[in-house]
Amino acid sequence: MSCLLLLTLMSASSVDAGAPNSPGPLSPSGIFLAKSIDKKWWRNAHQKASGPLEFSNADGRFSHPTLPFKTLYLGSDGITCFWESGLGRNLIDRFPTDRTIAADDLISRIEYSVLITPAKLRLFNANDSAARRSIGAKSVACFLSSHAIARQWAQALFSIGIHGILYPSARSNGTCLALFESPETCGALGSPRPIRNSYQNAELLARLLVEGVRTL
Amino acid sequence: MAAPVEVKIDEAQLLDDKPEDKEVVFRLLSKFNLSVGDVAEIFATYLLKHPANEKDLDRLRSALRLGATERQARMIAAAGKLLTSEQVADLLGYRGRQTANNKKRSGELLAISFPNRRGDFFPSFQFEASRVRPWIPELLKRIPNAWSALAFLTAKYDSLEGQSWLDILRADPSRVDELLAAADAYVS
Repeated sequence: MSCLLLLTLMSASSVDAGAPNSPGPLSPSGIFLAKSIDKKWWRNAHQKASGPLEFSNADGRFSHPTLPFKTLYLGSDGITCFWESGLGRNLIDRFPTDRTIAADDLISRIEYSVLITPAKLRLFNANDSAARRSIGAKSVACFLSSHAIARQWAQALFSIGIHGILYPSARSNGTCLALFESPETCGALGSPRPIRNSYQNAELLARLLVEGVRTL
Repeated sequence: MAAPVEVKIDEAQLLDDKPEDKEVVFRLLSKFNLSVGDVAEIFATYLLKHPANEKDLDRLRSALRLGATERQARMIAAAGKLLTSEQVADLLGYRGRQTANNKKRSGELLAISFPNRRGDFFPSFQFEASRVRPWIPELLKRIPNAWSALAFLTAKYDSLEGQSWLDILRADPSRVDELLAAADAYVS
């Protein structure tokens, strides 16, 4: 009897509640939208980038040349933006003892702050479990693990008029905001304000030191 | 009977002087060649109490340069043989070493230099027989800093199963497009 109970419990625990699933048909009504979000966001862009707030279809979590929209990624703070930038992602991918860059790599990255007016935006918060249940996403992994599945969800949400997705950064402790290009999102974005280059960010340099980065 | 004497002993207190604490930590970081793990443990804890600010920039930049020479040495070992500008001129049929230097300046050749050595040094992997591999100028368009480009090429990556881009290209030169896509991402 007790063996049967144990077997039953084991089989119940083998269901992976964190596994991502693909979206089914979505209805615009009944979706839990993010109620209040911060107005101040950050962006880290290379100085040669054509524009700091350019929407892109480059291969990314919620962007791809095959998707019918372009995406702009913002971060809740400068540190998050750095680790989510191309340079930050490259450093994380390297073996810790190979995280060597030139100071120029940091000097060429510009940190911008940008104010957004979120009132008219319909944003989905992937970190909100009730919001996820409202669209049938079984776990936050739908948005954080496989890019292929994350893009399916992005496309499904975009198709019902969602303007962007809030999600926790996989590489930092901050929050990211992926905005899909639309008249509403473009209208909600203020002008980017250059703050400093990344070599002038003491908090970032301290974090780089902690993570074994060295500059030449 | 005499009244008992009250003895008051002050408990040892941890000095909490922010500027002094920071000075000590930065001095320690400069003095000892701590491992990444040591630094991470000590410094991450410390930063929770004393977040870095603009006054720390110079000391942080100095600390970030610690161990750079050893890293350069490892990068050079991974890159393989280095050629002088005279050797490059001979190899490529240039009239003199100035042509090699000009090609370096125009981003057609990858050349590194050292503060204590005269002249430029050209990693030999960029040459195939008596020509420059076509992907070299393409890489330098994306990552113009020679040391950055060399670090990018010789670093070992988790996503490449512990190999570097240089390892990958040596084994399979047809993967140049992947290398250049990674270089595009580096500056995105």
